[in-house]
Amino acid sequence: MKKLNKHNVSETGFKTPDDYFASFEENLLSEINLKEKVNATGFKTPDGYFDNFKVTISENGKQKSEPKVISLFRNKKWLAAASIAAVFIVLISFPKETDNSLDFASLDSDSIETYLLNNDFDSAELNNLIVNTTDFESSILEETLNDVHLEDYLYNNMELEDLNLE
Amino acid sequence: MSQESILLANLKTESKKEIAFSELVSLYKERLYWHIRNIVKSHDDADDVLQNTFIKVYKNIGSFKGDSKLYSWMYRIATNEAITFINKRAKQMQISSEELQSLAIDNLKSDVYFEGDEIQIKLQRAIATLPEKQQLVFNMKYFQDLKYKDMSEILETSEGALKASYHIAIKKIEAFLLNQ
Repeated sequence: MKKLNKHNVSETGFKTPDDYFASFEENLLSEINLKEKVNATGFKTPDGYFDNFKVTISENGKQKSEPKVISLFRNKKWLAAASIAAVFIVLISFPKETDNSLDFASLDSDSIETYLLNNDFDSAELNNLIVNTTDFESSILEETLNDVHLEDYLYNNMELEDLNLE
Repeated sequence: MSQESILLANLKTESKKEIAFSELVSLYKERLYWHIRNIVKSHDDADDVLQNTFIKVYKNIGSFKGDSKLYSWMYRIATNEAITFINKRAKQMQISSEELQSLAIDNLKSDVYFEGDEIQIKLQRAIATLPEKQQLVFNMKYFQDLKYKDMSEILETSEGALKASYHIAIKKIEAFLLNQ
């Protein structure tokens, strides 16, 4: 009887989940397709991170509070910004040759007036300072002094004796 | 006795604990780091979480009963620490953990410890669209090639459910990348 049963067993009894073979192929292809496109995260660690990694545990079982050293340039943006700033600093710190070439046009009249008043020039020296006499003459001639200004000037700057000289 | 059970016995013996613990750290630091890094994205955050994970392991090794593998137990702690870290940070910033994840992905472009291209950024964005558990399953299988059996112990989910979850994740990510 036993022998007969042995010959009659034609199936293993194994079965698969519903749609196993259909989904197997689909799942496999999806994974292969995705891995062909991208198969790494792009994450990396600082050099020697794992070699130097240590867990410091204090006696009470907590982590020892050691100040963490964070590199100033761990962010690419900071590195770029710092490089640009460095270039500007170098450019600015070089003396510009054009800064030394001054002309009268770049000076305001107040500065010239203060300079002339503070330096005790005699008339000959003042004469030397006037390079373009034509311009000077025309500016003097065109300058209109009103009576009040003239009176003010004479009152403050002239002595009576000076006027009597001639 | 397997290597893991010897290590565990030494970890529970006060006189051998320190040496056994440093052996444990050197054995698992890389695997746990990459698992955490895939969740928190930035290196500095992964470093913090990895430290906290090992401290928790050290403090709680005495109460580890050995119901699961030591390796799975540590993975479970690392997963919980990483998720707690994200939730805490999101709470501090008064944003959702999804928004925090999105910010972390935005920051990758300027992170010196990220050497990926646009496709890797897209992949991270695609992963971020998945539910939390699917993200874990995807990262553990796709990048770390963990066995479903181990994943089942770590995530306390049946192997069948994990397989289904992984294939759904693959399809969603594929579709996301195609639509971008």
